Amino acid sequence: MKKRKKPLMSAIIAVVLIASVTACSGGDGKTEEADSNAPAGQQSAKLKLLGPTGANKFIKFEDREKYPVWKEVDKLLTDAQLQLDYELVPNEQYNVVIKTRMASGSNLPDIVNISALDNTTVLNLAKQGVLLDLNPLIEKYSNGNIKKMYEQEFPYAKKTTTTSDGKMYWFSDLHKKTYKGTDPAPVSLTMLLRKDWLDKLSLPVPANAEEYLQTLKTMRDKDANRNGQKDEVLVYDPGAFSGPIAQWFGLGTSISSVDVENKKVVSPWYQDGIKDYFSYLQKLVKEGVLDTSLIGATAEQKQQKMTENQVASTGDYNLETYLEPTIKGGGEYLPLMPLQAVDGIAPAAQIEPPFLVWQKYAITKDTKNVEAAIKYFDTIYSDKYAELLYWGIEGQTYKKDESGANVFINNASDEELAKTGQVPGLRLFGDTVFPRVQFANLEFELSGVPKYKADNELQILNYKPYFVNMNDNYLAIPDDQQLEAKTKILTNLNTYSTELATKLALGQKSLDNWDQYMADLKKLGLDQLLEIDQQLLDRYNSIQ
Amino acid sequence: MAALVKRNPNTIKQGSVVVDVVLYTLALALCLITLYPFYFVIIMSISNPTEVAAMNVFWYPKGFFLDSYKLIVSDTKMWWAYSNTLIYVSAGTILNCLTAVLGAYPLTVRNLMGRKWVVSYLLIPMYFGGGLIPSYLLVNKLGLYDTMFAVIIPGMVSIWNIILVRTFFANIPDGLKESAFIDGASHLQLLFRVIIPISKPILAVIAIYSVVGIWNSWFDALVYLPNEKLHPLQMYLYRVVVQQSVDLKMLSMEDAKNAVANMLSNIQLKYAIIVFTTLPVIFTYPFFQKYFIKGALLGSLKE
Repeated sequence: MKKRKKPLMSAIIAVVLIASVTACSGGDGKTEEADSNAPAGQQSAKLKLLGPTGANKFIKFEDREKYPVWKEVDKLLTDAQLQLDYELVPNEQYNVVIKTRMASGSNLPDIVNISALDNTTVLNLAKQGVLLDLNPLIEKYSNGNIKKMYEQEFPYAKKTTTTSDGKMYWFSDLHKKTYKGTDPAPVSLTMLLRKDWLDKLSLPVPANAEEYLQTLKTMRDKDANRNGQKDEVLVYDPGAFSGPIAQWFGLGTSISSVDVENKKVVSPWYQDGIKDYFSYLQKLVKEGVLDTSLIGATAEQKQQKMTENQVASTGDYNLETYLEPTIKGGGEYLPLMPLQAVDGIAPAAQIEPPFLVWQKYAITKDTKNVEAAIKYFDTIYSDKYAELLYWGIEGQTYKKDESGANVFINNASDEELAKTGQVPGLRLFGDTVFPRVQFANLEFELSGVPKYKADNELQILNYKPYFVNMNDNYLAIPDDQQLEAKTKILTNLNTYSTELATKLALGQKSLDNWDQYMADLKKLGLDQLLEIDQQLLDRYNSIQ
Repeated sequence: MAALVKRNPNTIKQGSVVVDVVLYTLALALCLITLYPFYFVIIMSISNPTEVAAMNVFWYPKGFFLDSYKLIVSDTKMWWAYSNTLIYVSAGTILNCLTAVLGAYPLTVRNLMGRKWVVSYLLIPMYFGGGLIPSYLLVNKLGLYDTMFAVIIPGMVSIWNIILVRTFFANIPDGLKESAFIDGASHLQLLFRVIIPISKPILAVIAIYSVVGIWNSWFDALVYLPNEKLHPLQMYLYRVVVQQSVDLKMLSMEDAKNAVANMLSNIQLKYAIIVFTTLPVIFTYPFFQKYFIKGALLGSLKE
């Protein structure tokens, strides 16, 4: 019996080792080569692309062949005689992979999505020659598509992607949202208030900050969610200034904020309404309507409160429709217009800029065929691609409404869309190695929301004053010194500012020691930060 | 006479019921504290998703919902990850045992030149590593990047295991080895015919350490395996549980919409996945428990 064990054991070991070797050798299935269906007689240029996979569980890039929109995109690429070799890394893993790969400088693809790298790293890589300067390449090889997009359709894109020495190291996702064809259409981040609770308790929509506080108190005292407990709360994080209540007091959205209209960089800490803002937050805390347990909480923790039907008010997009379905028992959120809080200070709105530039796609030093790489981006920055990416195929994924504006047709779940294949390109390959070029419109968004949300949006369109939620979109890329100084300052300053703001809101620090706090902020480099950002804003505005 | 012996009032009587009750209560409390998190994960994984998102489940499941398990079972990626883990665990364990034995034996041979130096040398990489980028470069230059070998080969030698085995071998009586030599055995014969057969306990310890260690590891895969078809189970778990939590504030409106939908479906799913991926190790644990204790004792003495 004992003797039998030995051959058996050896057999198991042999099988396991052979299995692992066979499995290992099968491991190079990472790259998915595109179908080479280029017309006969023409030589396709090969390019290797590295990027993250999309996050969607149902609509996957690997199933792209069954999607009509992909067939169209594939045709564009084939017409451009490009043969692409995709290396897509799971998006949850991509940050680590790209950081290691770029830091080691080996095993680089031709085109790479480097959005996960911060500006310091990217500029260092550019300095080391790992990333190519795109301007001369565009001049030499482009068919004009890139220039057309960057100079005519999205003129602000160059401003945020040009370095201090006039070079450009990456292409970006480009987005603009318009209304009635050409009007820029910003959406706002605002305070949302439970509309169904207002109706249930016959309360009017608050017209100023004081009424807002009283409304929250009434909702809580009258047990608006009818669960027998006074647990209706405001979810608001006072640590940053990105909560829309700060803007009611005329404050910027970040320690260093861009006042777009006046072309100035301001800090809430220096603005007039700052003390009143903290006094107001202290009142909200004292009255027990602001849930202090959720200060600094994760999105999941806040979501729990939402699901428990306890959130009377919170800050989010005015046109959001994703919160309501998550409330147990249902509910409706009414977006509020900026509320008057202090006499003499016009309440500001917080808006998402109608023009966005984000993500980074670069060409690396290992690219053997630079011309083909530029041709790839010429294909991406074409009108046809932009249509396929954002809207998809007319008659299948979108149609024209009576005003001639594009509107999406399918409103099904991702699971169903994956079955029918009727999706625009964005869902299938956006955020991977394919940059987004988006011509969005407000008409479609307005068609999908209740009237009270649409009305709010129409009022916001031309509302002034306003601050933006993405300040970096208005700042040029800092040079080495500016970047180093900013990084150094921001680490400590952000921590101090968040801690100070939270303690002031909670009443743990007194407003009487204001001069001391300002002295501390200055010591940590607040003035220097504002100075640098002002220089960056000036340079942004000077780039034509 | 008995009255003269003064009893200390603080003495605890042997077999005292009070002490038993206190000790049992303490042990029970400790058990509860240890087991509750796992029980919590199980009841969360089968409760209604809305109750889970609202964090309303504490003592018993609320509602009954097995769709998360259905989703996991029907997910081919999970099964890929499961089979990969089995390959990593079995290959890794066998190689670990082999390298531990082959590394430890020469270090017990008394007349090996510079033995002490070799042992000291071995200790260095236990405490100092090359760092991530040099390791990456090495793996890449060796052509292991994005192959299963990238996870198996760098992890196949463990200095800690070599030291454990060496300690065990050193305690084997010299007489046994000498008699084998007198009978004409070579070093290899001595190792494989005499020493290994009586070293099963230490091999079991190494095997269990390796199984648990490899089963739970994900970092190497994170760095060296961009191809998800090669990912082990824990990497799959890491991707679902850890990395899919997002900061909604950083997103534009359209992205926020998708992120909220993802977050909600993930809240319950992650509990189900935790149960699914931890069960095999939990079930094997009781069978090997005694070896764990042995392993801990062996580790306590390093010569």
